[in-house]
Amino acid sequence: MNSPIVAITGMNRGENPQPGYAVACSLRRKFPDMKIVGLIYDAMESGIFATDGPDWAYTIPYPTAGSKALLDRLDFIKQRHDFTILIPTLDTEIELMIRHQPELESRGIHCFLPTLESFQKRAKSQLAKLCEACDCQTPLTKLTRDLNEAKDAADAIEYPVMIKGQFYDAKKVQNESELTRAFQETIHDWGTPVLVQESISGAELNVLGVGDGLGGVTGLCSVRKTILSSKGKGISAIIVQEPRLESIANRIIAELQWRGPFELEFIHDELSDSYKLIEMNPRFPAWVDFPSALGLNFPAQIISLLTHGTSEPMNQLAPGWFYLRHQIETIGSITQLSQLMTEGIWEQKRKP
Amino acid sequence: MMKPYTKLFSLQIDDNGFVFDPTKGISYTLNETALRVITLLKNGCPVEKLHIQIAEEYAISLPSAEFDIENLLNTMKKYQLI
Repeated sequence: MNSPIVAITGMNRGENPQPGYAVACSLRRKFPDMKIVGLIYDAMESGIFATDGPDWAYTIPYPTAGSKALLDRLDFIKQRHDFTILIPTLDTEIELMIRHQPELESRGIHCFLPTLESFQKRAKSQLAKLCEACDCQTPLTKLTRDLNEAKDAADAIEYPVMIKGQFYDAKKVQNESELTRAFQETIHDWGTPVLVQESISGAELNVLGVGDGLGGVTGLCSVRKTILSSKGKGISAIIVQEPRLESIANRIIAELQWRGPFELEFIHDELSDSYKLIEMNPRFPAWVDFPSALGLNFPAQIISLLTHGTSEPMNQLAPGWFYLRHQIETIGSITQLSQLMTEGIWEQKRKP
Repeated sequence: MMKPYTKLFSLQIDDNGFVFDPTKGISYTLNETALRVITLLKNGCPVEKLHIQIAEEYAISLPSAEFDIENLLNTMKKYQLI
């Protein structure tokens, strides 16, 4: 049986890598002949220039352009390449895709996403409530809409605090002056609310998995970040086997009846020897191909769940394997760019 | 009474003294003597008798062995390795 054609977003692997290219690599590990459409926002998304990147690349409108623009573009692309599965990988896309499930389904485009209710219950602003329901902890967090509120929140929590955008970005600030700058940058990039969060020192750990929509997971991969970028992203991480983390992850997924990929971000509070949930990302992380290379292929599970309704049970990965992010240069020419820049299309990109 | 030191058995320790704690994802290195102490503990040597064995093997005084072992075990406790 031929593999379905799959469309994936988030192909940039630059300084701050997006997950889409790693999802494509994982799918090709399981389905070497799979055809992949890269859905991009910018002609310079590096993953489309990689030799093992998507077969075709098409620009799509930014989520702010609204649903009609997006659906029209997906119709256009689907006429050319009849993709039946769409894997959105960027935070800002997920809610839009969830809201458009009926329209996408009616076009024969299937996504493996949570319900809107589940999605909203894991929002940063709702994390304390979710943690209470799941008997786990999260750092003290206050939602703020202007600078004065943020200053008051930081005074109440006590410096240093983390300043976070609703979708992305986190900055640690030590005083009011740093807070002012961080708040203004965050509100400029991500709008309101801006979160002011207690800063906890300790190791950062992530748990990756796929929720089956019935309260279970198809497997879990827990890692501790060992090298951090200036943005706090894991440049390197090592697999750990910590039953307490897995127990928290299972409780959260059961509570949310989560359907789809997720990444739970924790910090280990050294003082209390406890794990505190920092956030839950409703998508694959950029390091998703790491467990795939070791045999725990979460993106392939999504295909299996969508096409067969089930996924093979996966073995846990042995602790001690680690990844190091390795940047290389991809190569493109101005002639290759021309169609992308003018029509938003790059056909016959990948040689058979 | 001998303390069980059960955590020791979850650590991955190789012959070169490289230690990996799989719950925390953190690695450490032991020197030769520390590795010997840990190996003795894992093999069931009572903690009260460790210094006798080490003093004999390394030809050092009993108080010196006792002092060093206590230091090692305190350090490992600090890192939650035992």
